[in-house]
Amino acid sequence: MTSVSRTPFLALGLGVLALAGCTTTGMIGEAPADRQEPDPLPPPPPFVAAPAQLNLLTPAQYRNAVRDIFGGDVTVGQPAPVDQREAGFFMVRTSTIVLAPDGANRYQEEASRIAAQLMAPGPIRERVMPCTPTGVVDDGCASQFLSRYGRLLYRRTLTEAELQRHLRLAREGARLPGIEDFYGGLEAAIMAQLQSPFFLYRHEIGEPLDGTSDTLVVNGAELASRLSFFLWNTTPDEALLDVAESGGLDTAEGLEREVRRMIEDERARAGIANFFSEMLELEKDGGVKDSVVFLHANAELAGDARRETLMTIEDHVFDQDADYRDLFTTRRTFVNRRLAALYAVPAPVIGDGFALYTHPDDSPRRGILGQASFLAPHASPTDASPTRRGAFVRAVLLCQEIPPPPANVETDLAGRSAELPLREQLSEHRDNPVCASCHALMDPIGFGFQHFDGIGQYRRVERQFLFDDQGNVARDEDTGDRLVAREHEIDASGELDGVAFESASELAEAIRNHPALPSCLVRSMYRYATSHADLPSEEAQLRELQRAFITGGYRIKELLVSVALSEGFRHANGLRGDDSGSDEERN
Amino acid sequence: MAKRTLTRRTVLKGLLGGATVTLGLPMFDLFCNDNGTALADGQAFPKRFGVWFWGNGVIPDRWAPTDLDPRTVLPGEPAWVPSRQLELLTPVQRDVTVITGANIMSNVREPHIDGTTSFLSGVPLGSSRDAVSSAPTIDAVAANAIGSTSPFPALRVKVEPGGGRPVSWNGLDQVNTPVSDPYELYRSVFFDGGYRPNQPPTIDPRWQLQESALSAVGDELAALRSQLGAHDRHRLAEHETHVRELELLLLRRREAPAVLEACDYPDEPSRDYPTVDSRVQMQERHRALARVLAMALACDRTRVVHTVFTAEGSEIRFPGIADGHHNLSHKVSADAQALLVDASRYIVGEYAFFVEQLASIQEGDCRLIDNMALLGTSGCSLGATHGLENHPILVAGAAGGRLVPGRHVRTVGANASKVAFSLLRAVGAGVSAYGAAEAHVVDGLSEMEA
Repeated sequence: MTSVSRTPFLALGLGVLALAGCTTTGMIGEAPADRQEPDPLPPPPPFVAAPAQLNLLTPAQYRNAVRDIFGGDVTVGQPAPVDQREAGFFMVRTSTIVLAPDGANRYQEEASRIAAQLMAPGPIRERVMPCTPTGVVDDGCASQFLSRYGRLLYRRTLTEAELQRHLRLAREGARLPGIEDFYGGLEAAIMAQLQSPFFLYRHEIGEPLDGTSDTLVVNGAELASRLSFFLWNTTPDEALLDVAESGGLDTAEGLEREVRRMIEDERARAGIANFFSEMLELEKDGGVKDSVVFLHANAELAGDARRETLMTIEDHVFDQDADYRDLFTTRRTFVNRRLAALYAVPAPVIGDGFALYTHPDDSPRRGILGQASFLAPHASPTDASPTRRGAFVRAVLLCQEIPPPPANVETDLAGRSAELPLREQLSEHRDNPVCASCHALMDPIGFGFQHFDGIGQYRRVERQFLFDDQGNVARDEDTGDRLVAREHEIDASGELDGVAFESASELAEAIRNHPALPSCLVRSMYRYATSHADLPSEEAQLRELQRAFITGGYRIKELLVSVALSEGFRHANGLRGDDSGSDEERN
Repeated sequence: MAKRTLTRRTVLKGLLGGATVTLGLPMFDLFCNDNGTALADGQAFPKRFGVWFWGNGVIPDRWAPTDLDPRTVLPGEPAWVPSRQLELLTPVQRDVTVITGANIMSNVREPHIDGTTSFLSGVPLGSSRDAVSSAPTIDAVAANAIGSTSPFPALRVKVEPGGGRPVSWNGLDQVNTPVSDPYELYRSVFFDGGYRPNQPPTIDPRWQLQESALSAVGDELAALRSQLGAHDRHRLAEHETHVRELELLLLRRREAPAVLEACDYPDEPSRDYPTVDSRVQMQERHRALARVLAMALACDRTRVVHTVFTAEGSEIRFPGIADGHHNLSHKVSADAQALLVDASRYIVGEYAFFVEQLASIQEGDCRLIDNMALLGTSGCSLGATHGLENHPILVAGAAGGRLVPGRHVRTVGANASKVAFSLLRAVGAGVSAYGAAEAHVVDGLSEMEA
């Protein structure tokens, strides 16, 4: 192993630091490297691959796979949901989720609807059928169809037994009274393939690396699936399966060539969008915002904001191939008319579309944390929330866990008068030691965003409206103007682990330069790519990837390559974790 | 069989509208025998179970009803006066027992999920914030015991659209996903499988294809399972079980249903619920869902229903309140408390609406609610502290004579698990023990039982 702790930058924030108890001193790398030499982290244990896995497809992966295989004109409804995040990612949750009865029911309904669409007379059937049947039963034609699409759905060539089973379904189905139709019979086989665990789960059996260790190599077709869902968020195409099944992924050179081809493919843009979408929690919309408190609130805001952020990231990663950290300070963004109105910037001239816009250098709005996709969801329906915004920066961007509030502590702010600015109301968090230990990690970051209201619009002052007894903003009877209870000047100063800032713009710099930022991205990317919560035995692998990311200039495309080529991505532990050899099924 | 034409309600009105009457028996015993009145084929009406959940608690100090001096209470009349939070129970007061003073027992505190797991599954939460308790929730226990012969073993809905912390699961990592769209619920319960109330179904020859596909799926699940480690083998075994059950369920959904007098199509729900004054139309959504659920019970499409009005941590904005509910629940100023009382009152009003729906359905000489137990509860007591003491617990229905509705049961720190134990016993899903660690009990709460 090369030395890991030589660079102080590296030693900081490498691990997921659980801030248990939230003692504010000495817990996190609170000082930048040039100010305080931190203790070097102890060397990690030798790398051992994680157990082989079984990952349920996410609803998006199911949809993408069906549409990539059968065509974009096939309608896919709601496959079984992934209920929650694990270690920050739905992708990780897919390795532990247990399908519930409603999930099995949804898969059945979807399979039935999709099969019916494929086999109904019309253009879809004409496109997907590789042959014309000669009668109600035509095993040759059915076999052509089922082996071709079965391979795409199962992401490997079907075994002879599988193909015969599906052929039998088609044959018997075609002869059923009331069906008596070749295509009807084929529907039964398609339904079976669409509900098969070989389609619904990414399953890894692997092959032994050698005769002496428990290490498995994720084999060709399995590795193709790993790559494809990591980089494209969809199923491997025929070309990738061909490469995999002919051994093209078995050498480092072959694998790298394929990975680089995949990253340059259009689908990588959607795939990496999905990674950031999961990491940045972009599916959250912050609920229904009060459209009188926030005059620019509208039903399209959440969708627009998500698109802005994903376009910014796509531009940054693929078109600029820029430093990851600059994503937090960039002035470049993409806005449509509604977002231009929200941000008070010139609207793009082209109709309803998005266009590149560069914020001026003196704008407080910088980077993806200056966008509504972050500012609006991490706020309440009527106001901003420094605590939630700060918590997001800590947990998601710096990989530092913040424990939940202790039991039976009144988390009340209203002991402080609501007439005070929010910063003063939140002072309880600082003055009460029970609260302070954790809130000191969140609120001072969040204050930096106070110039942005609950939907992300810039404001010079914090304004509290009067509400009537309907819970709606009160208006002046004569003028119709909203009645303001009070206004306060905003103090957006704060500090992030020893770096003081006066504004959102300076906070953006502080986040950009925080040593935990790049290592956290690497950890997140690794989790997502391998689709499991990283284990202590993988720490050595993570440090290697983190080092490569930093020395390589923080380029995300190169990170994708190094993750895909890493042992952690290509190997699995043959002991399969909890496998004690005994059958523990609770059936 | 002699058919009574008077509903209990009209009798009651007649009695109370006239001269002072003394009734020796509670109304339930007068009209409903202890086994429920028989169906046409001689079988008793089935017992049903439901959960009705809301997030962020109540104001527990101002929740309990005021007890009346028993000497001043007319027989058959409620012996308690609802608090403001409980006020909208008034029309259904005889059908609802309010249990106060009970505590949820949990040694692990994870705000907004510890209460749900410790009470509704009886197992205090594990150490991970992401994990969901390892024991099934009470609705899943009931569905296994009394729902396994229904076309839908359970129907679960969530009124506030969108995600949120789970309230129902079958075991570790196996969360039941509710339906939020009233029209989708209506369509699947009343049209899937060619169903027609009280008539044989419309037969579709494609059913045979679906059934043969499912049975092949079961075989492939078994094939893959044998190659995996224990954890993943368990996951696929569960999947396989659900596929095998689904084969049976599809058959059952396609059978000719029993003829039930009260069964009919519910009103067709609206397909769209736009926000009004920047608010989700909670009442409209809930009532549409509640009507479908009530009729699904009346038609015996299911025997177990589960409603999540809002999830723990919800920032829903209720009428008359500017702030999001969760945000507000963390404030203890007098103004905030008054608004939270209004929020609880509104929530309880929707629970009462569902009880009213269930009470309006006649089953022989009884009403549906007489054959049911409907638990109403939240994930914490006082939102501001995420408290689990003096937990809000409502129980509607008589469960075929096993529970005594209409009471205020005032306990002093009773283990809330006892309520769950009593409920399961009452609906015929009895367990010998409920809950683990400090939530563990081996008996029910006798004061709520008949």
